[in-house]
Amino acid sequence: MHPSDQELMLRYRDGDEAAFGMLYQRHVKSILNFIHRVVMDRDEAEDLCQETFYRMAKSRARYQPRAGFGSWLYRIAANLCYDHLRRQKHRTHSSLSAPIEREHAGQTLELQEILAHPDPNPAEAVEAQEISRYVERAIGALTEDQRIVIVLKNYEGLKLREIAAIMDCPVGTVKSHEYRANQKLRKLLAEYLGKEA
Amino acid sequence: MQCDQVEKELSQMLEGTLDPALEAALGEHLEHCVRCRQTRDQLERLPELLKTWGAIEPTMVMYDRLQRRLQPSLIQRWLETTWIWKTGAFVAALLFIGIGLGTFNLWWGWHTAASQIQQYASKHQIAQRGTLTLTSLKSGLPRISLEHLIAYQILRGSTLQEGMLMNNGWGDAEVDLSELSEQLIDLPITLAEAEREMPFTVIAPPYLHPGYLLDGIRRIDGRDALHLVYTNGIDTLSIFEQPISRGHRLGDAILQQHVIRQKEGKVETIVLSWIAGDVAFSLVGEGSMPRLVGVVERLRNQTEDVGKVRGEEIGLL
Repeated sequence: MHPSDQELMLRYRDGDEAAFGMLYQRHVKSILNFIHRVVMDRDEAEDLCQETFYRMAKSRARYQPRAGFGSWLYRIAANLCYDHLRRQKHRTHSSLSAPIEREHAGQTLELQEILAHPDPNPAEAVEAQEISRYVERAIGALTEDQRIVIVLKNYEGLKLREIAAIMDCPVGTVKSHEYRANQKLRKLLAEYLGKEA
Repeated sequence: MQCDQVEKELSQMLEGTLDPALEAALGEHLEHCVRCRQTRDQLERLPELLKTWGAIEPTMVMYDRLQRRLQPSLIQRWLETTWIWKTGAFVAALLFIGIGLGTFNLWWGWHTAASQIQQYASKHQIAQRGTLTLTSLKSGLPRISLEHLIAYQILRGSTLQEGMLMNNGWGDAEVDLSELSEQLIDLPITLAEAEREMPFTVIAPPYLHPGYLLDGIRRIDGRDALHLVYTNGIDTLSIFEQPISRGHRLGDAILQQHVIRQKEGKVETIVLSWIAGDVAFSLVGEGSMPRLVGVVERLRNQTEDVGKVRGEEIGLL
């Protein structure tokens, strides 16, 4: 039987370095991808992921067993994401107004327009990779809070109350973020989701 | 229920965490509202569509970097060590600092003495002639060593004392009288005897500026070298003369400065050496550098005046 996260953390607190390795292997991919989808930069994501586990390791002496070890880790990562995004206020966001490499009637189209005017035969013209780029850009168009909610829910499979715990806010706030995010995503990705009535 | 309210609750309904009563109300609304059903259908498909943005894989480099970062620092290791090691390391640190300060003190002493010579010599007539070859202070091997500087061997026990530091422009060296293997003594001799017996032209003015009178001439026993003693009634000056052909290593240097000082760093005894013709001179005295340099300058002028120095050969002219 595999030891729980709490058990491993307690072992690590008591000097078992191998327990840290097990925790790392267990969570690194989730944390890395969560951060990557929020900050949308691989290098930054790796750095912030390392920082997340570094802070986890540094706090081992103060660690007290609690429910939701993973949530605690996500919370560290989310806070690092917030800090990073605040520092990167002036960075170029992948936004709806950013031109992408596709033309329509000889003119460069913006994502919003592309999604509104897909190719005549999308099944042939649009590769899965291209859809992925649209999805990435659509998520990039969300606010920081909305992005964190959408990523935690859709990619990490967390419930709203878990996300609320990570974001340290009421469930209602999370629902509100999700509602607005879904509205935006449904609009941006309408062509791939099926048109509204 | 209104469509807006339904839309807000759809996500939780799909999540399966909605209150059963509310879920029933939503179900009833969805049966009659096509728009909300389409919204629900879109939300049902959304997670699958979002997952077309694939995951990235962590690299081993990430873990290696993290592990290196987690290695305890020297300070952390220090804090984890026992008090015995801490005490040992503390003592070692103190010793290290002490050695560092000592080295600095030696350097500072040398630096100060050398600067003093430079300062006075650069303003003095000797230096202005370009014959005070201060480059000898900076490069090359010492041209005067303890074993060849006869003054040390004569003045041992008086001017020279064990533990004094000699600065010869290349750094400080502690005077070790035990290294002076040859015990030299000097014996009284008259000027006439000296001029007759010495294989070089003796320079022995009866008066040296400012206010020094020749008190006596002594021959270094076993050597063709003289020790002239001058006094102003308070201080004593010693001038040593010997031919450079007798192994003296002054070479082409016109003037070599040697400062002997006590360990406290205060300059008290100064040795000035120079060459005039084929004779090596050394002046050993106490007092200020300007006064002693002035003595040397007057003495050299005097030797030129009497025509006993081949100025061209020694570069004075």
